[in-house]
Amino acid sequence: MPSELGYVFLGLWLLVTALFLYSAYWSFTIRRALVTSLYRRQAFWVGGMGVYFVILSAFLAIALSLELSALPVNILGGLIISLGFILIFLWIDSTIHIARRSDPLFRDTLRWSRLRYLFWFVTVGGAVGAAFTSINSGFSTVAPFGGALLFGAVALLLSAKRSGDTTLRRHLRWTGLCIFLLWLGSQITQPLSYHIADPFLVESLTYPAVAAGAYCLYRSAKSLVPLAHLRISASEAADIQTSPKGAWP
Amino acid sequence: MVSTGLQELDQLLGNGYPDRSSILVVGPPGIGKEALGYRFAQSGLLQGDFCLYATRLSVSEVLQDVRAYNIEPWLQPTWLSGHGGHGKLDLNDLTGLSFNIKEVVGKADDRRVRVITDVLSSLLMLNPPETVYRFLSQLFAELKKQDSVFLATVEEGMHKPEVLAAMSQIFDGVLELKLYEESFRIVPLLRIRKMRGVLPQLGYYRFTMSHGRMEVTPYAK
Repeated sequence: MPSELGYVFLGLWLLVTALFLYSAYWSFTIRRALVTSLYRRQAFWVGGMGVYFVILSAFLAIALSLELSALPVNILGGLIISLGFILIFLWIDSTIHIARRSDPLFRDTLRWSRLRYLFWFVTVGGAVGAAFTSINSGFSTVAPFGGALLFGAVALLLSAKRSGDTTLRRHLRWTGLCIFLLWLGSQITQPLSYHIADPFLVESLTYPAVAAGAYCLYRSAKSLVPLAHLRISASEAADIQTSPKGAWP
Repeated sequence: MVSTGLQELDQLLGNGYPDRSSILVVGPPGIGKEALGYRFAQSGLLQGDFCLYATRLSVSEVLQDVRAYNIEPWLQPTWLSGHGGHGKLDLNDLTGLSFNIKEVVGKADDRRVRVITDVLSSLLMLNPPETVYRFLSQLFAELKKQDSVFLATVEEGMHKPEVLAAMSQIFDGVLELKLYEESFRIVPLLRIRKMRGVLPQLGYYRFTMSHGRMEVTPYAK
């Protein structure tokens, strides 16, 4: 029978999962409505991040609560954590392309169009390394490998500044905030667990940051493109054409 | 009337865009407004019209985009582009740009002219709106002396609404493409905000673009 804190944690976990799934739903829905492959790709990776964080939070919740540390768990943990860095890199890459498109002078920030291949290689290499670390020392010891991602983040921020696209900036602000809050959540777990023995209490204290991050991902998904709300007055609605396809009254 | 290159849109507009007109297509990025420009250019080339495509991208990038919409660019327009065209496009020099467009269009002889451009958003980012407004007004006045139709696309969400509203004033026709959030779904809708010679329309049309075709159906909430 779980303790009261266990129920609190379960409630928070369900909230986080629902928020991540809702973010993924909106990203994929927006993707379906778009036509240009560049923007469809960006929406796809945001949706991918939503699904990924559901898987990651489920894994961490189960593995940390039950204190699992067997080899298969470490392998799975290493793979899941590594996949996150690859996903973030793919989102950065697609978003830099969009930022370049909306830059009036069409600048290739930090020569990203060429260097991206090198950073793609470094990111995949880092992911493989992290998987090995996880197998050897446990998934909880995997440290973020941020070199390529950091360069990507700098290139992305510079591209966004050059683009002057307010929609893109809003999307970046929410996604950046999401990644920061999730990172913060992961960083405070370790120090808290030194002082607090109950793993449910530790998770319950860190999950509000994760929940805030999940909410930011939802806002990030909704800010991929400007969405309008159809508001038609009764008189306008009556006038809306329902004539056969293409006919002009 | 000048065919839009899309049968469904032609029907909606009563055979196409008005003669000697300037058309603005407003929409969020990725919704497919460029496809209206590509179709318009392709249809003109097939009919023997003189087509000028002014873009800040390179020709190869535009052609890649064109193919992504399932349009095979057998015939190609005259290009003013950032790279690889018949003439170089410099967005910082509006006088030079205007001169280049008029010079290229002057080669059309007696043919009908179609000018398609995606540079309006960039111009609005690099210049004060009043400067762009003046530039366009003068360019339209010159182009309308010939039998020409000018079609420009502009990004929604990149400029202040009042800037877009001011831009809409100088165009003869404004087509608005939007993504509407309705409950738990997204509906792409088209609206003819204004079109010279046509009564104002309140109707929204749902549109889809697939296999190089645009399907338009009246939309009622």
